[in-house]
Amino acid sequence: MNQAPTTITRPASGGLGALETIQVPEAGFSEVRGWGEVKVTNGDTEFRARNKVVGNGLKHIINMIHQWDTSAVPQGRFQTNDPTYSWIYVGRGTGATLESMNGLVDPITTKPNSTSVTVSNPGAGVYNFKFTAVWNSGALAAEDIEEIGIFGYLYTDINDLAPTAGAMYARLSTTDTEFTAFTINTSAPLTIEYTFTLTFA
Amino acid sequence: MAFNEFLGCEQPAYTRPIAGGLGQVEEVYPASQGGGELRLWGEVEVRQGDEVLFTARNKIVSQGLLHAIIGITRNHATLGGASTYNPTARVFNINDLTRSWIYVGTGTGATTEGMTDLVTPVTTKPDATSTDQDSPVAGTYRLKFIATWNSGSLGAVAVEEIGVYGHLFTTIDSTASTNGRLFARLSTTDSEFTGFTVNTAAPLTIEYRVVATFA
Repeated sequence: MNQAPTTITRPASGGLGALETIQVPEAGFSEVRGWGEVKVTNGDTEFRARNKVVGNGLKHIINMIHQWDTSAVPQGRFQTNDPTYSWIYVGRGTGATLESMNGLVDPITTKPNSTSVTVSNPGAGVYNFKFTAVWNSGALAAEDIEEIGIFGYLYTDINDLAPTAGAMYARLSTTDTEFTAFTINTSAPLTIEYTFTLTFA
Repeated sequence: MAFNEFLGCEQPAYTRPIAGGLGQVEEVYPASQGGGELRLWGEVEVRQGDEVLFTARNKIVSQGLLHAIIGITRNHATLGGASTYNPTARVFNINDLTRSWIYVGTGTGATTEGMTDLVTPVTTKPDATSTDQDSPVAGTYRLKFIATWNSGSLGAVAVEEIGVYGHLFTTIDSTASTNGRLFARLSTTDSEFTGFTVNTAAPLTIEYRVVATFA
Protein backbone atom coordinates (compact mmCIF):
# COMPACT_ATOMS: atom_id res chain seq x y z
CA MET A 1 0.00 0.00 0.00
CA ASN A 2 1.31 3.45 -0.86
CA GLN A 3 2.06 5.90 1.91
CA ALA A 4 -0.36 8.73 2.55
CA PRO A 5 0.42 11.93 0.64
CA THR A 6 2.26 14.58 2.59
CA THR A 7 2.71 18.30 2.09
CA ILE A 8 5.80 20.46 2.46
CA THR A 9 5.92 24.22 2.91
CA ARG A 10 8.97 25.84 1.36
CA PRO A 11 10.06 29.29 0.22
CA ALA A 12 8.86 30.17 -3.26
CA SER A 13 11.73 30.69 -5.68
CA GLY A 14 12.30 34.41 -6.05
CA GLY A 15 9.38 35.02 -3.74
CA LEU A 16 10.86 37.41 -1.19
CA GLY A 17 9.66 35.43 1.78
CA ALA A 18 6.51 34.02 0.20
CA LEU A 19 5.90 30.37 0.90
CA GLU A 20 4.38 27.71 -1.26
CA THR A 21 3.04 24.31 -0.37
CA ILE A 22 3.76 21.29 -2.48
CA GLN A 23 2.39 17.82 -2.12
CA VAL A 24 4.57 14.74 -2.27
CA PRO A 25 2.65 12.46 -4.63
CA GLU A 26 1.14 9.33 -3.23
CA ALA A 27 2.54 7.47 -6.19
CA GLY A 28 4.27 8.63 -9.33
CA PHE A 29 7.81 9.37 -8.28
CA SER A 30 9.27 9.11 -11.76
CA GLU A 31 10.88 12.47 -11.28
CA VAL A 32 12.78 13.70 -8.25
CA ARG A 33 12.77 17.28 -7.09
CA GLY A 34 15.76 18.73 -5.34
CA TRP A 35 16.08 22.22 -3.98
CA GLY A 36 18.00 24.26 -1.44
CA GLU A 37 16.80 26.80 1.01
CA VAL A 38 18.39 28.91 3.71
CA LYS A 39 17.22 30.14 7.04
CA VAL A 40 19.01 33.27 8.15
CA THR A 41 18.96 34.39 11.77
CA ASN A 42 20.62 37.60 12.91
CA GLY A 43 19.12 39.19 15.97
CA ASP A 44 15.68 40.32 14.87
CA THR A 45 16.41 39.46 11.26
CA GLU A 46 15.13 36.04 10.29
CA PHE A 47 14.04 34.70 6.95
CA ARG A 48 13.93 31.63 4.79
CA ALA A 49 14.71 31.68 1.09
CA ARG A 50 15.31 29.45 -1.87
CA ASN A 51 18.68 29.42 -3.61
CA LYS A 52 19.80 28.54 -7.09
CA VAL A 53 22.09 25.58 -7.39
CA VAL A 54 24.88 26.31 -9.87
CA GLY A 55 26.67 24.08 -12.33
CA ASN A 56 29.27 22.91 -9.82
CA GLY A 57 26.53 21.71 -7.53
CA LEU A 58 24.75 19.87 -10.29
CA LYS A 59 27.92 18.11 -11.43
CA HIS A 60 28.78 17.18 -7.89
CA ILE A 61 25.40 15.59 -7.31
CA ILE A 62 25.55 13.47 -10.42
CA ASN A 63 29.11 12.43 -9.58
CA MET A 64 28.32 11.56 -6.01
CA ILE A 65 25.41 9.39 -6.98
CA HIS A 66 27.57 7.13 -9.06
CA GLN A 67 31.11 7.34 -7.75
CA TRP A 68 33.20 8.08 -4.74
CA ASP A 69 36.74 8.73 -3.58
CA THR A 70 39.71 7.21 -5.45
CA SER A 71 40.86 5.61 -2.23
CA ALA A 72 37.55 3.85 -1.67
CA VAL A 73 37.15 0.23 -2.66
CA PRO A 74 35.08 -0.17 -4.73
CA GLN A 75 35.21 3.28 -6.21
CA GLY A 76 31.83 3.42 -7.87
CA ARG A 77 28.22 3.34 -6.80
CA PHE A 78 27.54 1.58 -10.10
CA GLN A 79 30.41 -0.61 -11.18
CA THR A 80 31.96 -1.80 -14.42
CA ASN A 81 31.99 -5.59 -14.39
CA ASP A 82 31.73 -6.03 -10.64
CA PRO A 83 28.38 -7.77 -10.12
CA THR A 84 29.07 -8.18 -6.41
CA TYR A 85 28.16 -4.53 -5.90
CA SER A 86 25.84 -3.41 -8.69
CA TRP A 87 23.73 -5.01 -11.40
CA ILE A 88 20.42 -4.93 -13.21
CA TYR A 89 17.78 -7.62 -12.83
CA VAL A 90 14.77 -8.33 -14.96
CA GLY A 91 11.75 -9.94 -13.34
CA ARG A 92 8.38 -11.57 -13.86
CA GLY A 93 6.50 -9.82 -11.08
CA THR A 94 3.70 -7.32 -11.47
CA GLY A 95 2.36 -4.56 -9.24
CA ALA A 96 3.06 -0.84 -9.02
CA THR A 97 6.39 0.44 -7.76
CA LEU A 98 6.22 1.66 -4.19
CA GLU A 99 8.48 4.25 -2.63
CA SER A 100 9.64 1.76 -0.02
CA MET A 101 10.46 -1.15 -2.33
CA ASN A 102 13.91 -2.63 -2.02
CA GLY A 103 13.69 -5.53 -4.46
CA LEU A 104 11.78 -6.74 -7.49
CA VAL A 105 8.54 -8.64 -6.93
CA ASP A 106 9.76 -11.75 -8.77
CA PRO A 107 13.36 -11.25 -9.91
CA ILE A 108 15.22 -13.53 -12.28
CA THR A 109 18.47 -13.60 -10.37
CA THR A 110 20.74 -14.12 -13.33
CA LYS A 111 23.21 -11.26 -13.27
CA PRO A 112 24.38 -9.60 -16.48
CA ASN A 113 27.48 -10.97 -18.18
CA SER A 114 28.93 -7.47 -18.21
CA THR A 115 28.20 -3.97 -16.97
CA SER A 116 29.70 -0.59 -17.79
CA VAL A 117 29.39 3.01 -16.60
CA THR A 118 29.84 6.34 -18.37
CA VAL A 119 29.17 9.93 -17.35
CA SER A 120 28.35 12.69 -19.79
CA ASN A 121 27.22 16.28 -20.18
CA PRO A 122 24.87 16.09 -23.18
CA GLY A 123 23.88 19.76 -23.05
CA ALA A 124 24.30 22.90 -20.98
CA GLY A 125 22.91 22.30 -17.52
CA VAL A 126 22.29 18.60 -18.11
CA TYR A 127 24.38 15.80 -16.63
CA ASN A 128 23.80 12.09 -16.68
CA PHE A 129 25.37 8.74 -16.09
CA LYS A 130 24.66 5.54 -17.93
CA PHE A 131 24.80 2.10 -16.35
CA THR A 132 24.63 -0.54 -19.05
CA ALA A 133 24.10 -4.25 -18.48
CA VAL A 134 24.48 -6.93 -21.14
CA TRP A 135 23.37 -10.56 -21.01
CA ASN A 136 24.87 -12.78 -23.69
CA SER A 137 22.60 -14.71 -26.02
CA GLY A 138 21.07 -17.58 -24.11
CA ALA A 139 22.16 -16.34 -20.71
CA LEU A 140 18.49 -15.71 -19.89
CA ALA A 141 15.68 -18.11 -20.69
CA ALA A 142 12.65 -17.09 -22.78
CA GLU A 143 10.90 -15.46 -19.83
CA ASP A 144 8.14 -12.84 -19.98
CA ILE A 145 9.55 -9.65 -18.49
CA GLU A 146 7.21 -7.49 -16.41
CA GLU A 147 9.68 -5.51 -14.29
CA ILE A 148 13.26 -4.19 -14.33
CA GLY A 149 15.34 -3.23 -11.30
CA ILE A 150 18.54 -1.18 -11.00
CA PHE A 151 20.78 -2.19 -8.08
CA GLY A 152 23.79 -0.23 -6.81
CA TYR A 153 26.27 0.12 -3.97
CA LEU A 154 24.20 2.71 -2.13
CA TYR A 155 24.11 4.78 1.02
CA THR A 156 20.65 3.95 2.25
CA ASP A 157 20.81 4.90 5.93
CA ILE A 158 20.51 8.61 6.58
CA ASN A 159 22.79 8.41 9.62
CA ASP A 160 25.26 5.76 8.49
CA LEU A 161 28.30 6.07 6.24
CA ALA A 162 28.40 2.38 5.35
CA PRO A 163 27.10 1.62 1.86
CA THR A 164 25.14 -1.50 1.00
CA ALA A 165 25.95 -3.70 -1.99
CA GLY A 166 23.09 -4.49 -4.36
CA ALA A 167 20.49 -2.10 -2.92
CA MET A 168 17.67 -1.34 -5.33
CA TYR A 169 17.93 2.16 -6.73
CA ALA A 170 15.00 2.18 -9.13
CA ARG A 171 12.38 -0.03 -10.73
CA LEU A 172 10.06 0.13 -13.68
CA SER A 173 7.10 -2.10 -14.33
CA THR A 174 4.41 -2.95 -16.81
CA THR A 175 1.83 -2.30 -14.11
CA ASP A 176 2.81 1.38 -14.10
CA THR A 177 2.59 1.36 -17.92
CA GLU A 178 6.26 2.19 -18.15
CA PHE A 179 6.84 -0.46 -20.76
CA THR A 180 5.03 -3.29 -22.51
CA ALA A 181 5.93 -6.81 -21.40
CA PHE A 182 8.32 -8.63 -23.71
CA THR A 183 9.71 -12.12 -23.98
CA ILE A 184 13.45 -12.68 -23.95
CA ASN A 185 14.82 -13.68 -27.34
CA THR A 186 17.39 -16.27 -26.36
CA SER A 187 19.21 -16.04 -29.67
CA ALA A 188 20.25 -12.40 -29.15
CA PRO A 189 22.03 -10.50 -26.39
CA LEU A 190 19.88 -8.43 -24.02
CA THR A 191 21.18 -4.93 -23.26
CA ILE A 192 19.63 -2.61 -20.70
CA GLU A 193 21.04 0.91 -20.51
CA TYR A 194 19.97 2.91 -17.52
CA THR A 195 20.43 6.69 -17.75
CA PHE A 196 20.06 8.87 -14.70
CA THR A 197 19.76 12.53 -15.59
CA LEU A 198 19.95 15.65 -13.51
CA THR A 199 19.00 19.09 -14.71
CA PHE A 200 17.45 22.29 -13.49
CA ALA A 201 13.68 22.23 -13.27
CA MET B 1 13.77 25.74 -36.63
CA ALA B 2 14.18 23.69 -33.47
CA PHE B 3 11.14 23.46 -31.23
CA ASN B 4 12.90 25.23 -28.38
CA GLU B 5 13.77 28.11 -30.72
CA PHE B 6 10.13 28.26 -31.84
CA LEU B 7 9.12 28.61 -28.22
CA GLY B 8 11.79 31.20 -27.60
CA CYS B 9 13.72 29.01 -25.16
CA GLU B 10 17.42 29.77 -24.80
CA GLN B 11 18.43 26.24 -23.97
CA PRO B 12 18.15 23.16 -26.16
CA ALA B 13 15.41 20.76 -25.24
CA TYR B 14 16.15 17.40 -23.70
CA THR B 15 13.91 14.63 -24.92
CA ARG B 16 12.93 12.02 -22.38
CA PRO B 17 10.30 9.30 -22.06
CA ILE B 18 7.01 10.35 -20.54
CA ALA B 19 6.42 8.61 -17.22
CA GLY B 20 3.98 5.79 -17.80
CA GLY B 21 3.73 6.84 -21.44
CA LEU B 22 4.48 3.57 -23.20
CA GLY B 23 7.10 4.95 -25.56
CA GLN B 24 5.86 8.57 -25.80
CA VAL B 25 8.46 11.26 -25.28
CA GLU B 26 8.39 14.83 -24.05
CA GLU B 27 10.80 17.73 -24.22
CA VAL B 28 12.09 19.53 -21.15
CA TYR B 29 13.99 22.80 -21.09
CA PRO B 30 16.74 23.28 -18.53
CA ALA B 31 16.57 26.70 -16.95
CA SER B 32 19.34 28.88 -18.31
CA GLN B 33 19.91 30.77 -15.08
CA GLY B 34 20.44 27.91 -12.69
CA GLY B 35 17.77 26.10 -10.84
CA GLY B 36 15.74 27.02 -7.79
CA GLU B 37 14.56 23.47 -8.03
CA LEU B 38 16.32 20.42 -9.40
CA ARG B 39 14.83 17.59 -11.33
CA LEU B 40 16.23 14.12 -11.16
CA TRP B 41 14.94 11.28 -13.18
CA GLY B 42 15.99 7.93 -14.59
CA GLU B 43 15.30 6.33 -17.88
CA VAL B 44 16.24 3.03 -19.52
CA GLU B 45 16.82 1.95 -23.04
CA VAL B 46 16.40 -1.76 -23.64
CA ARG B 47 18.10 -3.30 -26.66
CA GLN B 48 17.95 -6.84 -27.79
CA GLY B 49 20.70 -7.44 -30.31
CA ASP B 50 20.69 -4.35 -32.48
CA GLU B 51 17.00 -3.72 -31.91
CA VAL B 52 15.87 -1.09 -29.44
CA LEU B 53 12.87 -2.59 -27.70
CA PHE B 54 11.92 0.53 -25.82
CA THR B 55 13.08 3.54 -23.89
CA ALA B 56 11.16 4.25 -20.69
CA ARG B 57 11.13 6.22 -17.50
CA ASN B 58 11.57 4.47 -14.18
CA LYS B 59 10.44 5.22 -10.68
CA ILE B 60 13.17 5.96 -8.22
CA VAL B 61 12.50 4.33 -4.88
CA SER B 62 13.26 5.56 -1.41
CA GLN B 63 16.71 4.00 -1.28
CA GLY B 64 17.71 5.85 -4.44
CA LEU B 65 16.52 9.18 -3.10
CA LEU B 66 18.28 8.63 0.19
CA HIS B 67 21.51 7.68 -1.52
CA ALA B 68 21.39 10.86 -3.60
CA ILE B 69 20.99 13.14 -0.62
CA ILE B 70 23.71 11.35 1.35
CA GLY B 71 25.99 11.30 -1.66
CA ILE B 72 25.71 15.07 -1.88
CA THR B 73 26.85 15.63 1.66
CA ARG B 74 29.18 12.85 2.63
CA ASN B 75 32.64 12.10 1.43
CA HIS B 76 34.73 9.36 2.93
CA ALA B 77 38.36 8.45 2.71
CA THR B 78 39.11 4.78 3.04
CA LEU B 79 41.40 4.18 5.96
CA GLY B 80 42.42 0.67 5.07
CA GLY B 81 39.58 -1.14 3.41
CA ALA B 82 36.15 -0.90 1.92
CA SER B 83 34.44 -1.10 5.27
CA THR B 84 36.44 1.58 7.09
CA TYR B 85 35.52 5.20 6.57
CA ASN B 86 36.54 8.57 7.85
CA PRO B 87 33.36 10.28 8.97
CA THR B 88 35.02 13.70 9.15
CA ALA B 89 35.88 13.74 5.44
CA ARG B 90 32.55 15.05 4.27
CA VAL B 91 31.35 17.32 1.55
CA PHE B 92 29.93 19.74 4.10
CA ASN B 93 31.97 19.56 7.28
CA ILE B 94 31.71 20.27 10.96
CA ASN B 95 34.14 23.03 11.86
CA ASP B 96 36.56 22.30 9.03
CA LEU B 97 36.72 25.66 7.36
CA THR B 98 39.40 24.63 4.91
CA ARG B 99 36.86 22.39 3.15
CA SER B 100 33.44 23.98 3.41
CA TRP B 101 31.87 27.21 4.55
CA ILE B 102 29.22 29.81 3.79
CA TYR B 103 30.05 33.35 2.66
CA VAL B 104 27.87 36.40 2.58
CA GLY B 105 28.58 38.99 -0.08
CA THR B 106 27.83 42.50 -1.20
CA GLY B 107 27.64 41.83 -4.93
CA THR B 108 24.54 41.97 -7.08
CA GLY B 109 23.54 40.28 -10.31
CA ALA B 110 21.56 37.16 -11.13
CA THR B 111 22.94 33.72 -10.42
CA THR B 112 24.12 31.95 -13.54
CA GLU B 113 24.60 28.23 -14.03
CA GLY B 114 28.36 28.60 -14.54
CA MET B 115 29.13 30.72 -11.48
CA THR B 116 31.99 29.49 -9.31
CA ASP B 117 32.07 32.26 -6.69
CA LEU B 118 30.07 35.13 -5.23
CA VAL B 119 30.31 38.44 -7.08
CA THR B 120 31.78 40.29 -4.07
CA PRO B 121 32.29 37.85 -1.20
CA VAL B 122 33.02 39.01 2.32
CA THR B 123 35.75 36.46 2.96
CA THR B 124 35.24 36.14 6.70
CA LYS B 125 34.51 32.50 7.34
CA PRO B 126 31.98 31.43 9.97
CA ASP B 127 33.18 30.82 13.50
CA ALA B 128 31.47 27.45 13.49
CA THR B 129 29.74 25.08 11.07
CA SER B 130 27.70 21.97 11.67
CA THR B 131 25.67 19.45 9.71
CA ASP B 132 22.54 17.47 10.32
CA GLN B 133 20.25 15.32 8.26
CA ASP B 134 16.70 14.15 8.72
CA SER B 135 13.56 12.99 7.01
CA PRO B 136 10.97 15.66 7.88
CA VAL B 137 8.10 13.83 6.19
CA ALA B 138 7.76 10.48 4.47
CA GLY B 139 9.53 10.34 1.13
CA THR B 140 11.56 13.49 1.75
CA TYR B 141 15.17 13.77 2.91
CA ARG B 142 16.95 16.85 4.08
CA LEU B 143 20.54 17.88 4.68
CA LYS B 144 21.38 20.88 6.84
CA PHE B 145 24.64 22.82 6.77
CA ILE B 146 24.64 25.49 9.45
CA ALA B 147 27.14 28.34 9.70
CA THR B 148 27.38 30.74 12.62
CA TRP B 149 29.35 33.95 12.92
CA ASN B 150 29.78 35.25 16.45
CA SER B 151 28.62 38.74 17.32
CA GLY B 152 31.00 41.23 15.76
CA SER B 153 32.86 38.73 13.57
CA LEU B 154 31.35 40.43 10.56
CA GLY B 155 31.14 44.17 10.12
CA ALA B 156 27.85 45.92 9.42
CA VAL B 157 27.88 44.50 5.91
CA ALA B 158 24.95 45.16 3.54
CA VAL B 159 24.34 41.61 2.38
CA GLU B 160 23.11 41.14 -1.20
CA GLU B 161 24.19 37.55 -1.87
CA ILE B 162 24.91 34.31 0.02
CA GLY B 163 27.09 31.44 -1.19
CA VAL B 164 27.39 27.86 0.05
CA TYR B 165 30.79 26.22 -0.51
CA GLY B 166 31.61 22.54 -0.14
CA HIS B 167 34.27 19.92 -0.83
CA LEU B 168 32.86 18.98 -4.21
CA PHE B 169 33.37 16.68 -7.12
CA THR B 170 33.02 19.14 -9.97
CA THR B 171 34.65 17.44 -12.93
CA ILE B 172 32.65 14.94 -14.92
CA ASP B 173 33.90 11.39 -14.45
CA SER B 174 36.72 12.40 -12.14
CA THR B 175 37.19 11.22 -8.60
CA ALA B 176 39.25 14.30 -7.66
CA SER B 177 37.42 16.59 -5.25
CA THR B 178 38.19 20.20 -4.43
CA ASN B 179 37.88 22.25 -1.26
CA GLY B 180 35.64 25.28 -1.10
CA ARG B 181 33.75 25.12 -4.38
CA LEU B 182 30.52 27.08 -4.77
CA PHE B 183 27.56 24.73 -4.50
CA ALA B 184 24.74 27.25 -4.55
CA ARG B 185 24.06 30.97 -4.37
CA LEU B 186 21.10 33.20 -3.68
CA SER B 187 20.86 36.89 -4.42
CA THR B 188 18.68 39.91 -3.99
CA THR B 189 18.82 40.41 -7.75
CA ASP B 190 16.89 37.18 -8.22
CA SER B 191 14.34 38.34 -5.61
CA GLU B 192 15.34 35.46 -3.37
CA PHE B 193 15.70 37.68 -0.32
CA THR B 194 15.69 41.31 0.65
CA GLY B 195 19.08 42.85 1.32
CA PHE B 196 19.91 43.24 5.00
CA THR B 197 22.66 44.78 7.08
CA VAL B 198 24.47 42.56 9.54
CA ASN B 199 23.70 43.42 13.14
CA THR B 200 27.13 43.30 14.73
CA ALA B 201 25.65 42.94 18.20
CA ALA B 202 24.12 39.53 17.45
CA PRO B 203 25.38 36.24 16.00
CA LEU B 204 24.58 35.55 12.38
CA THR B 205 23.39 32.01 11.59
CA ILE B 206 22.76 30.71 8.12
CA GLU B 207 21.20 27.27 7.84
CA TYR B 208 21.34 25.81 4.39
CA ARG B 209 19.06 22.88 3.60
CA VAL B 210 19.12 20.63 0.61
CA VAL B 211 15.86 18.78 0.25
CA ALA B 212 15.16 15.87 -2.03
CA THR B 213 11.70 14.59 -2.72
CA PHE B 214 9.72 13.12 -5.53
CA ALA B 215 8.22 15.56 -8.02
